[in-house]
Amino acid sequence: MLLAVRLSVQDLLRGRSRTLLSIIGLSVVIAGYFILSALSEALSSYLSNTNISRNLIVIQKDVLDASDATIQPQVIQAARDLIPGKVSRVSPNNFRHTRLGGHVVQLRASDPQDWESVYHLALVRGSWPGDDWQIAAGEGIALTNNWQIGSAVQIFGTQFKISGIFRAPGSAFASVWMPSSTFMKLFDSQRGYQSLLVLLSAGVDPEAVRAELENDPRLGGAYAVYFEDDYTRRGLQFLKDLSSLITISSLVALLGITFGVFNAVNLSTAEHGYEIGILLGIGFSQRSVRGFLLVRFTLLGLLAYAVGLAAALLYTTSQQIFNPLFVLGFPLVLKITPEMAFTGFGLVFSLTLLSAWFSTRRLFNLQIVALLRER
Amino acid sequence: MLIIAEELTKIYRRGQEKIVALRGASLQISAGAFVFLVGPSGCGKSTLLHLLGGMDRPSSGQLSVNGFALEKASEDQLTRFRRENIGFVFQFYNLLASLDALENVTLPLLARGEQPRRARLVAAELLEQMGLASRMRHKPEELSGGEQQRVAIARAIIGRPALIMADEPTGDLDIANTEAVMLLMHNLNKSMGVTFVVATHNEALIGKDDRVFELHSGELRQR
Repeated sequence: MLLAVRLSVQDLLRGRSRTLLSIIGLSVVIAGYFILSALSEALSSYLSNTNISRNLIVIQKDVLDASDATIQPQVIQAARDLIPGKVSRVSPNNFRHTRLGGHVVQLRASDPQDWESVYHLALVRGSWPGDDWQIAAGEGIALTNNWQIGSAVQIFGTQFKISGIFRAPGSAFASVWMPSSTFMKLFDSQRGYQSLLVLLSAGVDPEAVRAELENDPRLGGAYAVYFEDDYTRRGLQFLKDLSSLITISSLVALLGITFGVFNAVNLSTAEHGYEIGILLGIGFSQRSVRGFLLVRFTLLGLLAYAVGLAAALLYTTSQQIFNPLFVLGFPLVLKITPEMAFTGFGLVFSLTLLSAWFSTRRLFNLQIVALLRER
Repeated sequence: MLIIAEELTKIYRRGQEKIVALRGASLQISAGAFVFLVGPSGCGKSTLLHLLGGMDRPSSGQLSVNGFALEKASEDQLTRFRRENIGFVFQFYNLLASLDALENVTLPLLARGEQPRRARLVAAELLEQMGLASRMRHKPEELSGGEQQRVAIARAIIGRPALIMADEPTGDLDIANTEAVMLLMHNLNKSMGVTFVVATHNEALIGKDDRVFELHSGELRQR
């Protein structure tokens, strides 16, 4: 074994430029595999955390800019009157779009009591805002802007502190939340709330409740009642298509890694026919020679794996810092997980061994004399 | 007899074409002999040498070397046979370029499962005897042709084989190195009793006491 390792190391060092080329060639494929897997994982994770809700949204009709919409108190009351039989909770809210850290961010506000139960925000770090100058940030936008608990954020000329970071489905992942009272002060909003989220009770017919609310005389035909999922479904479908595409790309990368490793090993084995002939001629058994080659290619594969993994880690980290990835406005967090690294290692290791075994089998079918002629 | 070959024939196939490299060659060589195989290029010298050394198999005929029937042997048996009985010296030395002279010479002992430290000691001693003490840590590309061939001879004899096959061992050397290599092989033949079979087209190498077999178009006869 020691002899095999020494022979392999010396052989790899002797042909430095060729070794380097082999490592680069393989590591590009390996890095590609990792990046595509990370992308696929990020999309899958996003999609699995995004639920189609059973909420209704009430907004004003015929308003050109949604941020100019207003929900009159009687509309809120109409929804509240359906509690508890048909509706379990009503949550009036506000929203604005603003640019933070170079990205468009949705600024949202409602009663903090509704954040977990109605909007499904789950606190990951810190705490929910305790005063008017505190806000909570979605995990995606926090990561994109490198925000931590206590970070100061300037919104419309006012400085806020981040008290908590939350995880949330859908676009809330990349939003900033504040209590309604803070929002009203910040924008000096006399118009009141802009939309209404209505959480249906369990077991009700959603369409019947939607129709009943929309036809309530207090809405006066000036408000539309939608299913919340109508908004998100289209975006989600697009993301699902994209995710499928990236899954296919990952499979292509997997094929690439298979053929890349096999090709590199096969080519290199063929180039070593002469040396293999010498070793067999001297009296080394085919098993020993195969052992030498397996060690050599395993070393090469492991080096390429290390370089490929390092390159992929470097790429994902720098991508996150310098140029965060957004799909439909949602930041995608590219992360190479230990599972991916382990799978990649297993793939590279087993494919290298398999390829070396197959390519040496072809060589061993040749006579030693023929191998010696391959000089 | 160390080698007994009867009616050895070797046929190569290249597509539809049949190439007869050896036609019914028979010979007997006793232990301790120094034998030349002579003839023009392409006459079948190397083919016969490879058959005698267990690097190739005859298409027909019988071949026994040191009591071992080569024509019936499996690949593993042939490997063991080469490891225990044969040393090879080639025209182009066939040293492993990534190893230094010392490491190249240790290989046959390592193939036999010898401890690396002991193999290095034996190899170093042998290289010293061959006047290569100062060159043993050099890679083949840093050695002259004559030095490389002496390293190859050291590698061939380190395992004390019964038989050394040398295929044009001086074919790539100048006159001075040719004489030195031939002298070395004759000395080893006499001092260690190793049998040498040397294939060459250079008849000037043949001494008056050496046995000579001639090959012409695959047909063998004793001179």
